[in-house]
Amino acid sequence: METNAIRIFDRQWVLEQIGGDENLLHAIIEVFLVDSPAIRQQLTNALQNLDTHKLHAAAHCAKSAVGNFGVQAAVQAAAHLEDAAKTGDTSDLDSLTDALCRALIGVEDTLRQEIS
Amino acid sequence: MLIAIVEDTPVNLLIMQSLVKRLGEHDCQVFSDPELGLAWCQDTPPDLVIVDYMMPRLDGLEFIRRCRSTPILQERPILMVTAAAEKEVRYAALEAGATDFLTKPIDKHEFIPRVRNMLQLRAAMAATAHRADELAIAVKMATAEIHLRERETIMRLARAAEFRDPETGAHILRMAHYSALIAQQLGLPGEAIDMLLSAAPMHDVGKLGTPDHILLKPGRLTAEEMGIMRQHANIGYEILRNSSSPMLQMAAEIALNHHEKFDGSGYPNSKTGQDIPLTGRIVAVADVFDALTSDRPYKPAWELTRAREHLIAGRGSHFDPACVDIFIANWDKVLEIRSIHQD
Repeated sequence: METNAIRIFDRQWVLEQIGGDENLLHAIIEVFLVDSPAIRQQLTNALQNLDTHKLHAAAHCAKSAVGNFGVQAAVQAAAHLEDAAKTGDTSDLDSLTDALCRALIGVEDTLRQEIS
Repeated sequence: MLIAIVEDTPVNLLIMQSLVKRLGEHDCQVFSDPELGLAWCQDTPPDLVIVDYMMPRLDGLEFIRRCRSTPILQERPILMVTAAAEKEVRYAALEAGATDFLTKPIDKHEFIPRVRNMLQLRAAMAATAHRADELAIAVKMATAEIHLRERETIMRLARAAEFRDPETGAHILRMAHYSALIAQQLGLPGEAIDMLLSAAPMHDVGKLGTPDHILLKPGRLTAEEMGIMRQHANIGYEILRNSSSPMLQMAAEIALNHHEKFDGSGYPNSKTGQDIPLTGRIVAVADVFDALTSDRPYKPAWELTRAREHLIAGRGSHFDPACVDIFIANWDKVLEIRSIHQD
């Protein structure tokens, strides 16, 4: 997942989305690097409490944040967990949450390299 | 323009805020907490609200509903940010009152034109509202001027009647103010009191149709002459009736009814009690009191206390008791009016 995330991140696409502003790209990466670990923590806590409502909200938040970087693998991982949490199907929540957290970590690593 | 962005995902918030800055010198307020954002919007209505759909505690749909139930925010443009796939959310947002949508992830090519369009919409709405306000003020001023002219016309007509009558200009002013005093103390609305103040002076306009030898006769009138004299109530009514002006309608009512008596012994229609329009009952007290306390070719002015006793004696027979009671209870104000409007 991390390898995919790194490979799929399309810097030009993101820049095009935000109007070619390099400084803004840098700024949103920094914000994401603060936000994403917090979202992962929310995902973990919600899973531990089997709180599907909070899990759904955190997955939606992750999808919304990571979608700005065009990393489809992470967006899809978030969407799968969001759907499962919404339907109340708890059978795959462990694996889906794990997959999303790994995807987020992958995006964080990629973006950290981007601004280093 | 003032723009509020309500979005709980910090990255989106930052992107939208940066893109808004490209649209010019707009004041942009951002809120990651939707409840705080709503409270701010209700307190400081922005020209455009951009709100995310899914947020903790208060989602975008409920946010929009609450905005729309706030009078000042009912017409303000609201853009809701949704993922393209959430069609049912879009329908619900439209139902709740969203003006348009933005899709995630935020795309400059979509975001900037849509926000610009919404700001132009808001500017056009504000200009229209401003124009409507200006027109409302212009209409109000024009209406006031028309009312002023109408009032002046009525006063001039009253003066025309007065020239044929030994009664003085001060009489019509005093009886009008006495009438307004009674109406005010009876709790009539301000507009009705103002109208009465203008309409009461017309009560005797029908005397224009009374022959001089009767109108100006210094001695007592014969029964026949009295019958002719009494026609002035109907003549006044004929002169004033069927007007589209509420003030002239009231004046017609007063002209016809100010000589009716509470016990039915008055003229021209021998009406009794509450069948006599209130304006007629009010003016009856005001007119008689001032006539009694004024000099006339056929009699000197009565002492105030005698006139007062006359009103009290006529309570329930000649006059509406409520009107007499109020008149007597406000004796100081009666004297003040009499002092201001002397012959």
